[in-house]
Amino acid sequence: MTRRRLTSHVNMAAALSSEDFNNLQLLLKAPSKDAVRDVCVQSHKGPSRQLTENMASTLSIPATQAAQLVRSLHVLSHHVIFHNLSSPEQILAVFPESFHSSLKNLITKILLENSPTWRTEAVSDQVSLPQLKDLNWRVDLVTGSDSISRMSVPTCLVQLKMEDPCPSAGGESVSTVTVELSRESLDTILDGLGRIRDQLSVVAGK
Amino acid sequence: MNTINNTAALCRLALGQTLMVNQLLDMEWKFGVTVGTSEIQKVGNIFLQLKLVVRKGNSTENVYMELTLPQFYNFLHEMERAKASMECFS
Repeated sequence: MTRRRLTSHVNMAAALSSEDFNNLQLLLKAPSKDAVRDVCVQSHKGPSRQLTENMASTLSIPATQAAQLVRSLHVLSHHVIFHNLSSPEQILAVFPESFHSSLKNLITKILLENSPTWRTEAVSDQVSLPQLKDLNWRVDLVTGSDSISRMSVPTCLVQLKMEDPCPSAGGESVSTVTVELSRESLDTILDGLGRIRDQLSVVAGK
Repeated sequence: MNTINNTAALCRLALGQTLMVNQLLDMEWKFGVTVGTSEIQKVGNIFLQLKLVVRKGNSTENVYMELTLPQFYNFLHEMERAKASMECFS
């Protein structure tokens, strides 16, 4: 996943202005409701030259206006997600009285349809330490070493695969760590994990 | 008697010196609730952060990671299975 969300954070801080609503009314030039839907969904991800060009040709508007429309749609969809506007009334209330009524209803419908997906994506993309994605383990019986020729000691190898949802530029998003655990270490880990589980049930019970 | 005790002690020492690769030395954790993000004003999800201290040669390396609740329960489940596997040898 290589989406860059930097601009979305800058736009998030901006409230919707009358200029934004003027830009949104450019959607009246769209050839179909599906075109409007497509434009709204693409704009949520963020600006891109390809998107601006496609929109300019779909709506037969200059590229500068298309770019402004993308930005305004982006601010609107992120505003809806940030404030968790989840009913038609809440979203309709964002628009000014003078806004084209049918377009307002269509945009509201599109935003409501996509909000659950966008919200889930925002949660999974949020700032985070590398996330544990996969865990594999292997138990070996060590039968000899350079210090003792005959032994019978179990040991555990655990491989943890982590994914950084927002890797720094040039950084790898997936990393793997393999650790070796003695039986005592594994017992200690399980003791620790058990305590976490107990603490979590206290929190969940509240 | 002393010879047997000394041999046992020496064996334990030798066992302790057996090569371990990336030995896990310590685990620390914290968990809490994500209150909000720049994308969502009110969130309310539980997060769990783990720090593993791993021996790498002569020094240690800290590995930080975050787990969701399902990932944590899976981690716990897998470690219990590993322990059960280890206990086959005792």
